[in-house]
Amino acid sequence: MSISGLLWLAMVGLAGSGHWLAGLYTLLGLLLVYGVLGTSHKGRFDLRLVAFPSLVWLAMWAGAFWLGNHYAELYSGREPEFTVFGFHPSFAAIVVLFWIVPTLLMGFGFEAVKDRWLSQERWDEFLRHVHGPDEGNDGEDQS
Amino acid sequence: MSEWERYLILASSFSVLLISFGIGLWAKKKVTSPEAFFGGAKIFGPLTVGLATMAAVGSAFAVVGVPGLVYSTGNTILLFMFAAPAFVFGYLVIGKKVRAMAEIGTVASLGDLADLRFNGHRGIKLVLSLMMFIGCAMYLSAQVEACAKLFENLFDWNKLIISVVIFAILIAYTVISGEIGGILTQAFQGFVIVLAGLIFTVAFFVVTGGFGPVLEAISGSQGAAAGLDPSAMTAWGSLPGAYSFAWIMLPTLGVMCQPQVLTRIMMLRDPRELPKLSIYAVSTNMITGMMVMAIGYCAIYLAANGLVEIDHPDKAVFKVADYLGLVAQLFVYPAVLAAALSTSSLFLSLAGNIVSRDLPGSFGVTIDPVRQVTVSRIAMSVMGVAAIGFAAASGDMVAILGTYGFGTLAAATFPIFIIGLLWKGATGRGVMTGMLAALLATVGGITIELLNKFGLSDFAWPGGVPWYVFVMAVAVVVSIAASLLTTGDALDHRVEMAMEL
Repeated sequence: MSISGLLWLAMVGLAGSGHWLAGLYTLLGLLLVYGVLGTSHKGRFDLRLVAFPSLVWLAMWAGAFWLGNHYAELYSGREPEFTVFGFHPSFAAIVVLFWIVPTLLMGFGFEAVKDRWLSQERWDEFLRHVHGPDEGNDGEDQS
Repeated sequence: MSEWERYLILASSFSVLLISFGIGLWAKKKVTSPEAFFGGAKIFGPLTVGLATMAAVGSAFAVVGVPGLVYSTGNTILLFMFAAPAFVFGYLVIGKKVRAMAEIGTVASLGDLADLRFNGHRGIKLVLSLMMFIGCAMYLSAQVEACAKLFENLFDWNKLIISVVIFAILIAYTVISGEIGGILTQAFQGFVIVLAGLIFTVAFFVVTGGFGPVLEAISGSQGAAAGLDPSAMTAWGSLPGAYSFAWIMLPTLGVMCQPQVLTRIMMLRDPRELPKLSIYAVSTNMITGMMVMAIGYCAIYLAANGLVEIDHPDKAVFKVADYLGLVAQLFVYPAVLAAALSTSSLFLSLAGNIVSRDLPGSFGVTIDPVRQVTVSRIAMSVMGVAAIGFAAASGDMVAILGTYGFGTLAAATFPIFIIGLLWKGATGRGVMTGMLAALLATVGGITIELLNKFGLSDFAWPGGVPWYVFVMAVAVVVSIAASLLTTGDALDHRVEMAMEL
């Protein structure tokens, strides 16, 4: 968590001093830290759960920022030489790599790793500890 | 627009209001206890919760404010709308922990959740309540402003009277059925928004021929004559880069701790349905994103070609709908109302919770559960009136008010629910210090903005970064640093289990 605090300082410091794009890349590092912390189970981190889908998503966002900025600077003040689906090439990078593909990846990727994220057994065990042995299958029964 | 068309659109808009009222009445029978009224019922499936969450997060900020900003400043604000993967990330990181906490005790409000994590720390609850109240006022004001714009455009009615009528109906169904009715009406309103989104997206392609003609229109001499800037179509839009940073960072980190998201997680019947919920939430969110981009781009295309004149960005959505004709109008106007209502009902409930449960609790006062419901109903009514007053006084654009509210709420909730649930080392005193710093920073930020607005100050935030980003950073960094310097609290072993799940 201390690392996340330092990353917060770095991110806002960079943005506040005019380096907003560097601030965005720092944000990705911060998300990675929260992603790792969020997988903690009984003090152990599940790095496979971090790698997919979160890390793939963050890599896509890094690509979107780089490509978006590259084409925004390349065609600054003039018409772009080409378009992608009718979009300015810099915004096309955002549409594809920042929005549509990562949204689908995260949504369906989360469903794919559901059991690793929270198995029925682990949830039942938690309920048994909290409510007592009779309520172990609460979640399953209600669904 | 002919007179009968205006009344037809009015009827379609009011049908959303009346159906919502009907759902609220029907839902009353499901309110079997004060806890259920306040949001402690874990009975909903992923589709209902997903639609309700999307509608409550989206709000009039998305449907009115975002197209207006797309029209006036380009793609920058779309970065905010497109950060949908972070929605899923939020569920993945803290979803099961929040839902597990709801099994430990009676958790009907965010204050209850904070109580469990920080052993009933009154100071945290007090500052959380105060900051959430400020955030609620800003968010509700954005919804009031959007409703007023909607009917101003149709009938040139008085803004105050419009706001009072709509909020009277909204308050009526919210006070009857509480959060149970809230989530069901929000799910219905989410469906209305999605329907309008699909229709509007098709209409966009029919009218403009696609994204290419929009780019051509804004890049040509006509676009310049209409006062439009071609750089608006780049990845970062025509606003300074600091806005791109803020409008990516804010939803990405802020969405996972927004009350609209946290309270809905607690109402899901089974945490293993969170992945499904996230699919519903983000797919409907994508349709909303597509809709607001289509409206904004349509406004650019029509204005650049001299087909419509848009005198205020917040009117862009209505001008575009009016150009598209009756079918579009019959869906877009109700969608705006649905978006405003969904968020408003949630924040009214939240305000009711704060006043009747969290705030008295922070002073050690316990109100009888049945009486809490009465106090909550009065508080919702007062909050509705206050929001109308705030909207009338501030006069800011819908999108700007929305981002203010989003930022303030994130600063209030991030230390408690993200740092607190991810890190056992977060101490009550540490988080309390961070929250106090955030409260001071929020009051300072709002004061400076008001002074700037009335020409009494020319203070510029470093790098042009919006003030609420600094508030969030202060809240987080102070909470972590102060936690490291203070001794840890003994955690209930069940809370520890929930955090380790």
